[in-house]
This record gives sequence, C-alpha cells and structure tokens, in this order.
Amino acid sequence: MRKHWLIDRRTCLKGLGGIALGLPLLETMGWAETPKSGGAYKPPVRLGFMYHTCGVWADAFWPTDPTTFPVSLPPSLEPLREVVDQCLLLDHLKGAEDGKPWPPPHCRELASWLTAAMPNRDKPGELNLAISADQIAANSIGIYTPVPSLELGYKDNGLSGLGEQGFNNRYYTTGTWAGPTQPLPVETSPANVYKRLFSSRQSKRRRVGGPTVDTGKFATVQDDTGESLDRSMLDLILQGAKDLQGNVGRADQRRLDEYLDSMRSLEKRVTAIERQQAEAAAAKAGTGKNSKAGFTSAPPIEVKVPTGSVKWSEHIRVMCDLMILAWQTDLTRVCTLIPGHVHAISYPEIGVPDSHHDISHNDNPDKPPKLMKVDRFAIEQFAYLIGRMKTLKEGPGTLLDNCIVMWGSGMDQGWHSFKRLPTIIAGRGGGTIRTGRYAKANGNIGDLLMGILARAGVPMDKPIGCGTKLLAELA
Amino acid sequence: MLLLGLVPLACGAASSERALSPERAAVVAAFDQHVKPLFATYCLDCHGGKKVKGDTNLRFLTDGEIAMRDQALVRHALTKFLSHEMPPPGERQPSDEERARAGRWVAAVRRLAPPDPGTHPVRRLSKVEYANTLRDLFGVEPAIADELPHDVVGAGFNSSIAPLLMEKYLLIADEVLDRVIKPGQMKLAWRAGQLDAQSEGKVDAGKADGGERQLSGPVQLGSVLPAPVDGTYTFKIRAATEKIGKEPLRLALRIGTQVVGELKITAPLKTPATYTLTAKLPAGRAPLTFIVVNPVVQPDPDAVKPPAVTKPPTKPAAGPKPPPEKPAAPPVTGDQPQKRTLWIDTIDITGPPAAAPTEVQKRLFIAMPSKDLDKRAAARQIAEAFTRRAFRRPATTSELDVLLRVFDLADQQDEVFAEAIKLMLKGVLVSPQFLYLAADTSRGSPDQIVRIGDHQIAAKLSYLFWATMPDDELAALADQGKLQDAAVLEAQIRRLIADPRARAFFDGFSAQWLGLDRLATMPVDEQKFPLMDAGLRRAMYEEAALLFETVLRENRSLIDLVTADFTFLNGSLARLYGMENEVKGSQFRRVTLSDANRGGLLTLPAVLAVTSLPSRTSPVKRGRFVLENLLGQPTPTPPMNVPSLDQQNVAENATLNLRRRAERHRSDPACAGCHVVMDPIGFGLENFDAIGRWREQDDTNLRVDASGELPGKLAFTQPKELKRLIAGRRDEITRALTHQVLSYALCRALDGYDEVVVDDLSAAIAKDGFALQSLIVRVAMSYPFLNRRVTR
Repeated sequence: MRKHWLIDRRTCLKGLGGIALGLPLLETMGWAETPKSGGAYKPPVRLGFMYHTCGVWADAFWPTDPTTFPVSLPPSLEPLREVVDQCLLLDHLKGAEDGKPWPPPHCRELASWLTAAMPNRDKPGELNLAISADQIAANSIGIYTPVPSLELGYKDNGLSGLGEQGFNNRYYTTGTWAGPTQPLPVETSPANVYKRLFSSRQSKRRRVGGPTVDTGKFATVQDDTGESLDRSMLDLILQGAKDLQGNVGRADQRRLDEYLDSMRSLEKRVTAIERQQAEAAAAKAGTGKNSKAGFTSAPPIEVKVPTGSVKWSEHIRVMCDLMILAWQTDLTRVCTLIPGHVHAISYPEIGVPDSHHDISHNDNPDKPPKLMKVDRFAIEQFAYLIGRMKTLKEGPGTLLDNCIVMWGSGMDQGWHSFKRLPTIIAGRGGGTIRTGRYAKANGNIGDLLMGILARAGVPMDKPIGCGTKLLAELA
Repeated sequence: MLLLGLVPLACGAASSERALSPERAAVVAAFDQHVKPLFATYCLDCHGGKKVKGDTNLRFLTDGEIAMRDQALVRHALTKFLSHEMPPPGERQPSDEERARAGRWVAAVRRLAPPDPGTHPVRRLSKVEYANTLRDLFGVEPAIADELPHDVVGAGFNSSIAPLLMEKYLLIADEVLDRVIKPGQMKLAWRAGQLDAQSEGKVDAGKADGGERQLSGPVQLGSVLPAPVDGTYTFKIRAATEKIGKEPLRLALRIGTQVVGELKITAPLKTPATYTLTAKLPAGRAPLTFIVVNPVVQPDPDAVKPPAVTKPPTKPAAGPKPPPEKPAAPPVTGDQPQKRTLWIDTIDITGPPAAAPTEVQKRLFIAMPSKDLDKRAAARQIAEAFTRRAFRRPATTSELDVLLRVFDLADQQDEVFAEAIKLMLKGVLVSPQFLYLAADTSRGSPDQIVRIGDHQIAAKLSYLFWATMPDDELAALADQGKLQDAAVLEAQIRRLIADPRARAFFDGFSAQWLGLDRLATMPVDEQKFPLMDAGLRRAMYEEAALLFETVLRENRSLIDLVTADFTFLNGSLARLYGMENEVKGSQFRRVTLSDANRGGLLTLPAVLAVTSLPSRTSPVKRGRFVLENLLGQPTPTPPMNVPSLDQQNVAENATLNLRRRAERHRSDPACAGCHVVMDPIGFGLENFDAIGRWREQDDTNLRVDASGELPGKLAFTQPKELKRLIAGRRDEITRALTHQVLSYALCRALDGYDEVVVDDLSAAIAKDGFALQSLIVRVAMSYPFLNRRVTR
C-alpha cells in the first residue's frame, strides 16, 4: 500500500545534472545487495558520523564513577536519558599520532577525526592528508546506493587561504576526504540535499517532432532518449580528457585523475540506480533472489524542508531527518554531519554568542558553564537523531539497530590534548555492538574507525591512519 | 680499499658543487665573519649556554656550513633580531649597522636559490571565476552558480573537483543552456492518430505512426504541448464532420484547464478543410485537449425519420485521403439523440512568431546549416568559435573532433540543430579544458624553464584582475602573439586595473590578505552589537574596497593604505564613526577625516571586526594581524604545553581586565618573544570596539589605556601615533604586500627563489615611490608569473 508522504508519485531522481535517475516505487525499494547465503533477510549496516568542535568540558561530560553509568548520567549527557540504552560511551580513546611534532591543535582536530592521520607538515599550505573512513566506506558499500555518501554541514567548508603557521584553512573546515589532496565540500542547504536525493526535475523530452503522451508513469533510464544522450556525451568528454592527460605534467595529471574520478562517480551512481531498479522490479515480480518475505519497515519519514534561515537546532534536525530518510530509502549508507570551521562556531540560540573556540579555552570561571551549555546542546541534537531512529521499525528491529552513528570530537577539550576524545557510539550495527554501557577504549581513533567500518562490511585490508587493529571494546 | 675509494667520491661530488658556487662560499664565510659574532654577543646567553629560552638553541650553529644546513633556525633567529624583538628590552642592544649586516646576510642566503618560477599546475576556476565566465559567455547572471561551495583563489586554494561539484557543474550547465538557447520557433506537425483519444469512456492510446482519426460521440483528444516560450501559437487543424442538425460541430481547445479557443467544423467528410486558431500560451509543458463541445444532437421533433442509419465510414489505411462517400448531412430525425462524427487528421502547431536572436545567440550561432553548409560543418564552426573563448585558446583538432562527436550523438537522434548544439556546448562546459585554467602544454624538456604562451598570459591576467575570461581585446592580442612584448603587456595590465571589473581583484585578494570574505558570515553577538546587520557588514566591506581602489587608481603610495586621511562612508557606516549627522543615505561618499586616529587599514571597521571575537575585541588577534599581514612577520602558534592566555590563576584573572591579564601572560619568557610586539599593537587599538566604534572604556568599564611601546623604544599613547610608527616601516610593509600579492597571483605559498623575486620587486617598487599600481603591475610582469618550470 502506498503511503502518503512528501515524495509524490511523479518524483523521479533527476538530481544528477540531467542523468535520469528513475527511482522505483518506494514500497518496492529494496537493498540491491543480495544476502550472503540464504537465511533471513538482513538489512545492511549504515554509518553516520556527527562532529562536535573543540572537545568538551570534561568535568561535566565524563562520569565520575563509571560503574554508575548509565543509571546516573553526567550533566552534559543528561539529554541522552531516553536513548542511553542505545549508546556506548567510549572513554580514553586516543587521538591520531604519527610520532612527529604536532601541527596546530585545531588544525588537526577535525582533519584527523575521520582520517586518523595528520596534516603534512613539510608543506603546510598544500593539502596532504589521507582518505577519511567515511570515504573508504563510500568506495566499498557506497557502490550499492545511488549516492555513495552524503557530506552534510551547517556552514560552508569551502574556506581557502592559509591559517596558523601557514597550514591550509581546509584542515580547519573539512572532515571528509576523498584522498590526501581532495577535501570534500559539504552541502549546507537542506533544500539542496533534498533536491539531490529526490529531485523532481522534469525529464527533458528532446523529441520535438511528434507528440509525447504524458501518462504519468515513472520515467525510466531506458525510456528517456534525451537523458541517455547526456550519458553518452559524458563518455565522450571523459575520453577526450584522457587524451589530454598524455600532454600535461605530473601535477596536472593528478588533477585530471581527480576530474576523471568525479566523472566516473556519476556513472557509478547511475549503475547503482539501475541495479536497485532491477532488484526492485524483480522483487515485485517475485522473481528476485532477494526474498524479503515478511520483512516490513516503517514508511519513510516525512521531512519538512525549511526555506530561508532557521535556528541552528532546526537546521541540525532537518539534516538529521534527511540522513534518516536517505538511510531508510537506501539512497545512501554513509552520512557525515560536520558543523564548519572549528574556530568560527558560536551558539547565540542558547545564549552563548561567544566564539565556541574562545570559551573552550576555559581560562576564566565564566567559561565552563557556557561550555557545558554548548556540549549539552550538541548532545540534545544527537539524542534527537538517535531517538527518532529508534522509533522506526525495520524488520524485526529498528533502523537504529542496523546503523552505527558515531558522535564525537577530535580533541579532548580546549587545553589541546588528544588522549581522551569524547566519543559516543549509537546503534547496534546489526547486532555487533553492545550498547547501554561505558567502556574504556584500548586504542586510538584509527582503531575505532576500523572497528566501525569492519562492522559495516567494509574490508579492512589496510589500516586507517594510525589504526592498527579493530577496536575490541565495541563488542 | 673499496670502501675508502667510495667515500671520497661521494664527498667529492658534494664539495665540487660547493666549489662551483663562489656565491655560496662567500655566504658561508660571511656567516662566520659577521653573523656568528652577533649571536655570540647578543643571543647565546639565553639561547645556548645554560639557558635555552623559547625552544631556540643557537649554540650548535658553530660555522657557516652548519648554518646553511639549519637555515630555518637561523632565519627564525635573525627575523626576531632584525625586527628589534630580540634581544628583549633591558638587554644589550645591537647597533643599526650590526642589524643591517645581519639583514644583508639573510638577503645573500636567499640569493643562493637557483631561479625557479615554479611549475604552474592547472587550477580549477573558483566559484566566482566560474560564475563570471558563464556571464561573459552566455550573458546569464553570475548568481546562477550560487549553489557551488564557497571558495576563493590564492595560496591554499584547492583545485580538486569533488563529485558533488561535478554534479553541480552539470546542473548549472543545463540551466544556463536552457535559458540561453531557446528553441526558436516551435513547429509541431502531428497526426491525430498520434494523440490519445478518449471516446465514450474508451481510451485509444496514440501511436507514433498514427494517422487520421474518425471519432463519434463525446470525444477527447489529448497530448502534451511543450511550449518553449511564452507567446502566441497558431494551431492549424484539418478536420471534417457530417452535418447533423443546424449547429456546426464545435471543437474546443483546452490547454491545462483553460479553454483557449473553439473551432466551428462544417466541412463535409468529402472535402475536409483546414481550420486555424491562435492562442496565447505560457512557456512549459501542459496537457492539450481537443473536446467536441456538442457531441450529441437531440432529436428534432419536426424532422422526418430517415430510412436508414448511416454507417460510419471505415478508417482509411493511411494518409489524408478524402473520406468515403456518404449521404450528405441528413437532418436529425426520430426520437433518438444522434452522435456527431469528427474526422480529424493533421494538427500543425507553430509559434510564437520567430523572435530576433539575442546578441548572445548571434555570437554562439555564427553559422547555420544551409544549402551551402551542411550541419556538421556549421557545428564545427560554432564549436571552434565557442571553444576559442571557453578554453581561452584555440582548440586542437582532436578536441573539436570530440565535440563534433557529441553533436552527432544528438543529431542522430533527430534533434533539431539548436538542440544538438546545446548538447555540444554542455560538453564544453564540463570539459577539463573549461573547468581548469589549463597549463601551457607547450613542450620542453623536464626542468627546463620556459616562458608561458600568449593565451595563457591573457587568461592569467584576466582571471587575476577580473576573475573572468579575457575580453576581445586581450584575446585578440594573444592570438596575434603580441603579449610577449613588455610594452603591450604593461599597457594591458594597466587597462585591466583601470576597468571597474578590477573590483574582482580586491574581492579575491582581500580574502587572502585581510580575511574580509569572513565579514559577511562571521558570528557576531547580535545582542551586544545590534548595529552589525547585513547592511553594515556590506558597508564595511565596501569602505575597505574603496580605500584600496582609490590608492590603486590614483597611483598613490601603498603607505597611504595605512595613513589615509580620507575614507568612504554611507549612512549606516557613518554611525560607527559618529558622523551620522554629516553622512546620510545608502550612497557612499568620500570623506576627509579630521580625527587622525581614524583612516587607513589599521582602523578600518572591516579589519577591526574580522580580528575580533563575536562578543569582544581580541588585542592578540589584532596585533598578530598587523604583524603578519601588514609587516610580514609570521608568528608561531602558542607552544603546546603552555597554558594559554592566563590559565595560571583563574580566580585572580577574573578580577583583572584584559590588558593586565595579558601583561601577566607576557611575563612568561616562552610567550614574550611574540607578545612583546603583538600585544602593544593590539592594545594600542583597544579604543576601537569589536565592530570598530571608538570607545573610552573597555568591557570591564575601565578606561582604555592605548599607550604602549614597540621594540626599539618607540613609545605611543594613541592609535594615531601607533599608526605613524607602523607606517614608518615602509620597506617591511612594501615587502609584505608584495609577498602577499605575488602569492595571490601565483595561487600558492611562496618559498625558495620566490623570496629573491620579492626582494627585487620590493626594491623596484620603493624606487617607484612605493606606488601601489607599480607593485601590482610589477607582480603581473614578474618572472614567476610569466615563466614556468616544465615537469616530467
């Protein structure tokens, strides 16, 4: 039975610059991945990463007596009360290290969070970091979905220029990296995210010689002459760009490689969509290998996309909703949500108009209370996300049961240390994570990321950054 | 023996290299002779021997060779030494001659770097450049690219094209081309059989090869009309009917839900006629429906019953043939209602009347297919002319071949010519040759230094000054190969600077130099500073831009950027200056400042605001800004393990104001090195609040004490005196600004030989009377800007 919600029957995915992305009817949407071997249908594990800048005010964040957790919660974690059974509080997680002198602390906090690597110090102005964990996942499990990964933010992270000690400003704004020299831009407008996921741009019928009858059916890739023209056009341009490669120097070749990768990623999207369509059609016809008999899920949530400027909390919540929607509909399996430049965040909405970075240097007695407010506010938003995911049925469990959402910061607190990264893991990762407890991590951020990715089925044949093992304390 | 033989060989190579460079030997010797004694006399007490303050140990610099190897340390030490920061006040001070000697050595070391202009890798167009280029190519508003992520060129610019960016380029290309290339006049030639028919509740879907239709009773005929533009459309319909009753068959045309016209069909089936209807339609796809308004005729009681019911004619196989013989229009008789019959065949829709092509369209469609020019040849001409502008150079044959193949793709699908061209142009807009400011592909052997070609010079200049593609004049000079001529080049640079589009230079450069791109969005405590709305932020920016442009256009000394006794105000900005009675309204005007504490970069509200925190001033940020951005002295971040600002005693700090706390902080030797210069400057500007208003009392309600002393016993008590002291450091300011502009122009951080270039440029600019125009022209004509080293 069709449910009424914001995406109407005419919605086709045309978000991709004219490449037709026909979305199958939503109730038939399935996961294109075939279960490994028979048995009950098992939804894929999906990943979320939510960042908090400048660390936390430790006194109000960490339990004074871990044995009482989660019965008694530290003040900053109080908003988690309703969902704390879904959370794992990881203490003593170490930050990234590579044995060389540190770059400026705020230069590494966000940059190292998902890469577990350090910015290159030899040429600080030129970006040279590492691929981030979410992108490693996107390259692996992302191939099954129309959008390999979603990078969301509240503030544009496109800042150029050089910051402290000549380090590139992108290190301060960017958590997701497609490669050592490729910081990824974030989408900050909920409307744009929505459009990208569910654009209802009309297909452009290029045949003007005869009538076309609008039957109100879904346009599909195969039917749409005009759109497949675009794909062929891209193929030709791609070929032309390859010819160009032979004529340029090494540095230029690297740029062109990146260009070609981006072009190919568009093609991969189309392939993923076609595969999903075929899968969905087969499931509908009852011929699919992928038996979902008896597997029911909550209908995709309704998302109200605001127009104009909104309060930060509303902005965060819409972004959270969009992540949930993307996970539910299997449009993507990997999402990141990152505030913006680590030095340029403030929270006037909760009465803290000061620079968050400034107050995180808690050198004055009026700062910790403000800092606590900020931390608590961030936890409230996280609790909202978790709370909503917990209510959404997915098969025998909930959406949250099949996700891993990591909340945290890349530094301990304003005193610039990296020995106790604030980290909360929510969701059971398809039954692979034990939640509702406090654990002392025996490892670093790289180990944690490896542990998380492995649970999502990403092969861990190479370590992530400074990681050496799968963090044991997750299970 | 073998081992012994090898070692001298290795050493020999190194030493012969040294021996080959007499300049290097001289520098090594000069260190021992001139610099080492200075270290011994003035530095080693604290930075060697027993004490090693500030993590700087100079004891190991025992001879010139070692100094050459550890240049970073030497340079760090001498920078402090030369700026009068070291030795600290109270210690024995070197003479001016001793400082000059150290300065000469630093310059001599720099000169050892072999000339290297850098490799000039390709760079992506920034958001603004991309938008402006689309404007110049297609006449669209630059806002069409608003969805792209923010970025600004300059050092640290990232050239990678993320998949998200690629998606957006495609979407924007579609949007631009749809706006610019409208299908001229729409001409549709339909057959009724291609439309969906609905008669008496039954649907008969249209077929692509459908022909005429004959329908009776309540009839609807539908399709979708894709009107390309708003305008008047003409419908020509060939139809016929059999006459029943007195009234003709009324055929209404509905677009969407609106009936736009009605035809009275009277032609008998034997001789169908063509009926014409015109209607005004909005652009867009809309359902089109033909409806028979009076499908059924009620019986006429006076009529005589006919002998037999007419058989409907059989449908002809194809083509508009005259309908079969039928009895002519029998009157309606009997008591049964009778259905009318509609025969309908061709439906021609044209419109609106062809509009005159726009300038942009004329420039794109320089050739149209005709009897003498086949469409592929026309497409090639169009591609050639368009890529000359979009690629900023003539395209190669193979590049044109790729585009022609794109044209073929659409052409083979029976696209109309304009649509096929559209696909081809879209291909151009997502090509790397368009999206990247391309490297000069002229050949050279690896590491050879070559001068860049004319087309690249033209592109680099126009993107540097206008953030867009070269205009016709510049492009023509490039085509003629004239930009290698220094006089022509200089004239062009001056022309570009004089053009209003040169605002783009300030927009980009001020982002790197002053951080003014943050002004629009940086968080400010709105409760504390309700004045700081979007309008004021824009006004602050405008003021800074006008100051810079005035100094540039009026060929003033760049020192005027610091000392200007004039500014530009509008009504909202005048409130910050306390001049709201003198300046009103939104227009900016030039104002001579009577208060010498105002005027110049140091006291510009824009600069004061971006160097503040959301709710208070930050003397340290302001001091660091002056030191780094104006005087060109990089400051390191605070050492990691030293508690920042004043963590030592939280309770006590609460009772001190910012200045006293900072003074305590400065007493820590680890911090003093930098803060001894930064803090006096920052506190010297404390009379200006976080949005640049004058104040006598600070946030703690204490009277602002703006007095201070810069190294070298240069005391000041007011901002105007501080300004004068800073402005006195002309050579440092000139060098710093040259450094910044060169780095911006090259879009990279400077190092190695670049420093020599900056030295030379600065000296030449000083000779030109420190003219800002001279600085910018010289940078744009400089060695690294016009040359490149070939990579493998």
